[in-house]
Amino acid sequence: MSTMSEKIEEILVDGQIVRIPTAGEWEEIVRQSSFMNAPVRLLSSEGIASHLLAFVTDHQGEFSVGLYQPGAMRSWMVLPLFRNNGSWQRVQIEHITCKCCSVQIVIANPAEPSLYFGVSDEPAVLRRASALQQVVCPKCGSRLQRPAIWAELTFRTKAND
Amino acid sequence: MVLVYRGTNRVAENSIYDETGHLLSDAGQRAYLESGSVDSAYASSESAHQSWIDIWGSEEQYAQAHSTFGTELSPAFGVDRTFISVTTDPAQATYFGQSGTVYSGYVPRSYLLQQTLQGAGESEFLLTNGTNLLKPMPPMVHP
Repeated sequence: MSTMSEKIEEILVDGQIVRIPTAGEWEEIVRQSSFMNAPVRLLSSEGIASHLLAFVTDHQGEFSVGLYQPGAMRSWMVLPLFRNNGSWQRVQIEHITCKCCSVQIVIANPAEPSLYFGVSDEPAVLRRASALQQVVCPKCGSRLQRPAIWAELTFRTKAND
Repeated sequence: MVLVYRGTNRVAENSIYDETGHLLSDAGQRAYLESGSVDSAYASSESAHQSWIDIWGSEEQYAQAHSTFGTELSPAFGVDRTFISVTTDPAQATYFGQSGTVYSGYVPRSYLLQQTLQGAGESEFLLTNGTNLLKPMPPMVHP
């Protein structure tokens, strides 16, 4: 009989192994606060994890949430991923207000440096991520004040309900 | 003592807090990820902080650059940032902590560097290297 950890999908993102639990597997991980004999600490990250999981549920196929263990971390870290031209791209999900039209927007920012801590050839990977095609405000079309490769008006995002 | 808040949805920062009880600067986070040691994290951040002061000529000039260039600063110079932005305005922290965590706690005034950049409010301060004086507030209700 296979264990959950044996079934979970593994992918390579920027040279790091990232495990992608399904929604059901995530429920089990959150309930147990552990995965593959290492803690998944959700004390202060709980808001992030629950928000990300709801967000991914609303954007299936576009986004996913993985788990990885960078460097000397004893616990797993959650990693938001965006499907960009057929490959998974690390992103930070951020809420911003368009400086031009004041609409609330949720964006996927690939240029947050801490996403890449511990990645091999980190400066080059971050440079590539920062050079990805940027999107504009979905309402007024103006340039956003934060790097964004995906954007959506907040009211369309059920995760914020 | 000053009551300050920090809102953040950065996964590494929150995860390291969960593991250590410390909110660390970018330089501290990287060192912690590499070493698993909080002491090494602070030592590395302190060293990077001195590098920034050498680059900009003073801590005040570095603080200005930190606020002006944000996350673009580190890739440009190859040095991780060593300041943590905090505010005395809980609403501002809540805005930056959307879908993340808002931390709060009392910090000695001498630990805080006032943000003097034009456009910055009187509520904005910088902490150097890291702190274990801030604790997570109850989860926020998203609007």
